[in-house]
Amino acid sequence: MTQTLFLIFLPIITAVTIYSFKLKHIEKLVLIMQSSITFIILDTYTKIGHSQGFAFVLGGYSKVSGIELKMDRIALAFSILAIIIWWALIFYNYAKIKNDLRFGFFLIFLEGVFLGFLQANDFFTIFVFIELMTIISTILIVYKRDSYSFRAGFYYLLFNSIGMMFYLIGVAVIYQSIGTLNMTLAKEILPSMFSNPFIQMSYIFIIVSMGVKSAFFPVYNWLPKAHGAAPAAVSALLSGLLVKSGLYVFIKIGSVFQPWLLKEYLLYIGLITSLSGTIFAIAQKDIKQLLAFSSISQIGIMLMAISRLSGYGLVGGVYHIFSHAFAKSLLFLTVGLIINKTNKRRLNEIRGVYESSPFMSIIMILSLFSLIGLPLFSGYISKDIVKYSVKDFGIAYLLFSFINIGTLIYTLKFFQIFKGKGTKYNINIKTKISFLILLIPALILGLNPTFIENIFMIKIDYFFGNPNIIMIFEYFIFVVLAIFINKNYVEKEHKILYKLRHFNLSFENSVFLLVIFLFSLISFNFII
Amino acid sequence: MDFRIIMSLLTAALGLYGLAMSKNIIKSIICLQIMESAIVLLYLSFADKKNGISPIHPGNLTNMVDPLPQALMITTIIIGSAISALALMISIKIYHHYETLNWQEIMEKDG
Repeated sequence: MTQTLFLIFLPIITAVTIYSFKLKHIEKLVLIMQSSITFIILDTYTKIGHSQGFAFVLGGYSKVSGIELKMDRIALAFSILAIIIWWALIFYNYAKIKNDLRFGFFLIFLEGVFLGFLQANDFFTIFVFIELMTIISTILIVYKRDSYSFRAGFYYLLFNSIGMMFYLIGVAVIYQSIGTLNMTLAKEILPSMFSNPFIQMSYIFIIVSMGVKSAFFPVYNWLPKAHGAAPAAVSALLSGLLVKSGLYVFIKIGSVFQPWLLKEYLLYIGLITSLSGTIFAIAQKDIKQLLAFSSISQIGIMLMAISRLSGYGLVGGVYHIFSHAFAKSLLFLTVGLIINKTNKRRLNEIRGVYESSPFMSIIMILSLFSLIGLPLFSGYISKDIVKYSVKDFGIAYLLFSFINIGTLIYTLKFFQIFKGKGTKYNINIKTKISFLILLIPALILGLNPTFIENIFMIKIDYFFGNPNIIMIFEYFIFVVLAIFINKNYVEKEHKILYKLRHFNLSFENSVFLLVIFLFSLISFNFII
Repeated sequence: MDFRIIMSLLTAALGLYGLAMSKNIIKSIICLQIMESAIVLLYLSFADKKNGISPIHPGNLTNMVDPLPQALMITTIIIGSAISALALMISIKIYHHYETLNWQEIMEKDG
């Protein structure tokens, strides 16, 4: 099964080709490449059946020291998600890829790197791919070349590199202890060594680095800056996929370590991430910053679920990654279009989007419904599973309702852009195609969870068939509360909101928080 | 524990301290490089053994040190140089836009 190797090398070769030979029909070459990797991934999906996946070692080395690529079931699911999002991005940036060689080069190259990252099955190859992703996405973040984007890109690059240094320290300890970097082999050897404090430390170091990569509670300061500064397509990519790379490594490494103590701590970290992301999102006035903080809040929900590392928790987390990826990419792409047409970024300045483009507004409203978890949308099923998986933790279960109310409040804030009068936008057909590419899978996921059921080989009991009367009543109360808080506090500009909006952390303080995060994990593991 | 391992961890901690304390962008890049060098030292001292010979030595393969960490560290050094090159390039652009390399002043100018 070496065909999955083409998923990595076809995009990279295409990217190098379009940059070095200045061909006439670049965009057609990109479409051919994209179609062929779609064909390969569908072929892999049909071949995988009930097996756990395919693995092979590059270059004929032994498994102990060689580079192994493994396409397991979760990697397959993420690859399909990545390819769908890149289809949308290629259509969204069709003219830009044609005219701007460099942008096309980095965008397509990043696709190969990301698909390679998903298949990497040893600790060091994951590091190499993550660093490549960081470098390329930095270049894409600073692509607008204004002062703010340079600063945000620099912050992103440096902070993520520091995180990966922690990862390397963790990997060094693992290599010293078990003599291999292969994850499949590590899974067999490591369980007998869990009582070793050095192995526990290595796990903690890796968790810290993934916390930086995926924006966990004290170390998410880079995310709103980077999302706010990047071009629309890059924001969609960052929020939809690249931020989740840390969670993906967490799933992969979690299956190796089966952590026995940190589970609860990470659940509460997820809860705090989610709550603080929601509160900051309510305070924002900038439309892209609001979406960025909303991403943080959703990442917290995913972490809460994934930290269970088994059963419904993992299923709910991955389901939520999927539903959030589609909804948030769509929102970033549409908002990018609005900013492009009107040159306004503030929520209270943008008006009349519905009159300007009913088609786009309906797409935006559908993805907002998915974000708040309205029944019949994918966010509903995923949040329901997550809520079910944390039901043993009273505080988490209770505060989950607060997160839902907060999500409703900032969504209500977002809804004001549809009101009022506006001039007609003309959206070209390729942009419309890109929206539909993201919308159709999102709607399918909301009505029919067969895809996730196939990936996990599990049956999902969702409440679509018999909507519980209590749940609908609960939802109704949430909406009423959200409208009340929005009217009385958010619209009247309570002074706490002003303070939250202007809260800013400098780079040194963020590094300091990173150290505190590390020590909190260590103390939780060894003292409590 | 080996003296070199303790030294490399201390150097990494020193780099982290510099990152948490320095106000200058260039110093931040230097501190990141210090951390990375410390990690290279950590890997190499993990792989080393007493009277070991380098893995590229022809013929005698008896007391050879582990070659894998050395191969990994070459990759790490290359990635580190790419990151510092990119970071320095962006810092030049930041200086052109803000006319300062101080984190605090940049934040104030951004508002």
